[in-house]
Amino acid sequence: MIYKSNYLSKELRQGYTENRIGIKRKIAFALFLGLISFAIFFLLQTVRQSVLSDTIPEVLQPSYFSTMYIYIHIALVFNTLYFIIYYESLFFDEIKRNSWYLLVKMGYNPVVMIFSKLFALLVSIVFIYSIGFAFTFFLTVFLKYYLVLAYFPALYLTGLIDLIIIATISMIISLFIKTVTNARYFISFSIVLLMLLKKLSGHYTVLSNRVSMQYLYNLFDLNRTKFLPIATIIILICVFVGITRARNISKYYNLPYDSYDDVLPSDVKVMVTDVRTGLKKSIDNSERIARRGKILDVAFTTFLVLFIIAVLSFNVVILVINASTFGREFSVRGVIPYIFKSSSMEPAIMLNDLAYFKKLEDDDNINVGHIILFEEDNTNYVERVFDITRDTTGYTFHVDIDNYPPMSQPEAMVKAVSRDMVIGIYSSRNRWLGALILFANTIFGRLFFLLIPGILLFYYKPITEKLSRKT
Amino acid sequence: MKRSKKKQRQLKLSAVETVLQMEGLSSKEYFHLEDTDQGPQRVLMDINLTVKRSESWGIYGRSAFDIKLLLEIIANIKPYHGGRCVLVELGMMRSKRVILEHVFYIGGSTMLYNNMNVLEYLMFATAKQKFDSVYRQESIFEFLINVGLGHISLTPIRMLTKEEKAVITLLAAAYSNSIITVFNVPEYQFNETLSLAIGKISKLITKKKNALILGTKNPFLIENACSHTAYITDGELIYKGLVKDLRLDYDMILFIIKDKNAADMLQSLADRLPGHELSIDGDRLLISDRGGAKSDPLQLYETIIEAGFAPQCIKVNPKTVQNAYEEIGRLHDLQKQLPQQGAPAGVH
Repeated sequence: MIYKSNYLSKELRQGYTENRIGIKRKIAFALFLGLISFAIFFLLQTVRQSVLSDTIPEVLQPSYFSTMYIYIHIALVFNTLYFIIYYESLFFDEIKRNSWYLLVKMGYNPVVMIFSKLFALLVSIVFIYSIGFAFTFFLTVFLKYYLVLAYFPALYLTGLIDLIIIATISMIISLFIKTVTNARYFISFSIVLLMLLKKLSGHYTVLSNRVSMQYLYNLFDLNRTKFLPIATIIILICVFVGITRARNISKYYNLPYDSYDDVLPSDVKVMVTDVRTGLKKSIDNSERIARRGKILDVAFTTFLVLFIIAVLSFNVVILVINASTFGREFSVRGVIPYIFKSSSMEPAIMLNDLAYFKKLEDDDNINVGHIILFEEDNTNYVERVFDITRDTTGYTFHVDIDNYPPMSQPEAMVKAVSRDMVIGIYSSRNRWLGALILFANTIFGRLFFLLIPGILLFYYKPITEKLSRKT
Repeated sequence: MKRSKKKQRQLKLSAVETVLQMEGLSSKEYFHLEDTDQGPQRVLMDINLTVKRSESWGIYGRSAFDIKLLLEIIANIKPYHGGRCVLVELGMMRSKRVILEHVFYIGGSTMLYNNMNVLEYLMFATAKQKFDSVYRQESIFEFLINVGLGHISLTPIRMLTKEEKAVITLLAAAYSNSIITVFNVPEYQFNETLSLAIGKISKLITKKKNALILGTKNPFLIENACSHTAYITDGELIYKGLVKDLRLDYDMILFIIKDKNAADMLQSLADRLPGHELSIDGDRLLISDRGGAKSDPLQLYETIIEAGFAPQCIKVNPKTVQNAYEEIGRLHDLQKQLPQQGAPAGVH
């Protein structure tokens, strides 16, 4: 076999060993993205009857729009992970490792290499993204939803632009950030900034609207969203700065920040006087850079620990709420959390909301308009007080539900409740916690909330060690 | 127009004989000595060195940092404080780095691509050379076998040690058109196979009328790979010259006697061998010349037998760089101590 690699083919294979393997891995990755998007679509269907149906209806609709909408976000998150994992091969970090210095000495043209690298990166992104997009579409065909082709171009374009932005920002990061660990943190952070930019520029308003996405020009309508011009400017600046910087530094030998670690005893300090400032500084940069990296490491570790604690605490809460049965309602400081499994009190309390009831004390008054939790024939009811009468035995509260389902008999749920039957008075609700508990009670939710903290607890050390690894 | 200018420049460069000239060079860096009365001490002082085409220089020293810094200045990676440094007739500015087309600097082992194997990478690196790829691959593969690296020729680079990676980088440099190759990894421990490989690569570089400057703390590597050598200690070059001369002039050990009773032998032979210095190195007795003594193995053997010993092995010392540098180091340390000892007596 004669090896005839050129720079472009080397780039197209990315971090893999052979071109063929590189293409196979990319296809496998794209199919994985499609599958995971489809799985998440189904997962979200389990929490459809929750606050999510009001806040993010675009991901819960039984349509192609929802599966493709989920796909473009999954593609963004997983491609960013891909960039982070293969950072050293995909971006300009190899210039800092002096790989280009050697190639320039061997006759390679740095400008050609820069464009080859950018081209290969773009081709790979488009290849993976397009296959994943097509595969998600193919999977959705089996659901037999009504096919509207009009919003596909806009969805495809939006997802692709997101990926190009993250790729170009990662490229810039690779040229300016000295250590691989720090660069990885910055790439992770850039995805948050991108989401924020999309929110602030009104892009999500257009993107989440199935009707407006049927017209591609809506993405370019500055009255609706300014995201695309901003994204274009970001991409152009990143590419221009990247090309200029890469061209300059590839011709020089770049000293690694820790180049003297192995040759300088730890008790010997070597200083140099800065010509411009006259200040003396140590030539050993590794300590300073390690200190900077340590801040990010500490932040990440703190986040990880807080996440594990939060998830574990949440598990405990779920278990307690689920264990709470009739006659044994648990309360925290006089508040009874109650998962509302009915639409009878809509809109005050929606289906699957987590409603809070104040435990009834002797001095508490119940007035007309209050929603109360009461017990009758060993069953709990939640209804609104519409009248109060008083006789010799005491007060009687006349209650009814707010929302009768269509075709049902009105006033069928009207009840007369004595004070000793009342358990609590409705005080507030939390729709998001309700949705979270609903999710936690599904099989996936159980896996997510029990397995993930378990895995993190066991593999916490290897994860942090991997992230803290030196360049 | 541009091409003819390039050609003219190449012609001019090919006529250059002296590829490196350093005069009175001192570094910007200095040691910060805490808890002493001494002021800041420059790492490198008054360095003078001339390297010509087809020469391979091994810069040896006790401190890997001194070597590394010197070679970084030579390759214009680091600025310098004083003196003059001319590289292939191009004066280096003290503070500003310039792009040196004719200098190939290797300061580590991270330049290679981990997702290629050795042969594949070398083919990739040399792809711009206008040779037929079949012929090129054949010659690279043969060369890898010749230098003793055939066993790693198809090994993925990510599986190599940093020393092996550095040698592969040097091999790539040997295929380049760079006039000077600076191999600056004094902190690496090259085994015998790799040292021999570096020696053969060095020959390839010098055969092409290019120069190699390598920094090392391994005298065996200098012996194998270099025609010239320099010894840097305390920031100064205390020796520079041919490796051959160094071994002959400074390796004073004449004979090496290997015996388990080496210590007893030393006591008995001390009086019988005037003009010689005897020292012990493990189970070896080293007999060195101290005053023009004759080095006759037969006479020595007879003297030992007369003393009542029958040693396991007597070897005529082949003269090594290691012994020579140990001797130079010893002399240097003595010289340093002398003025300090003499000062109170007022000897100047």
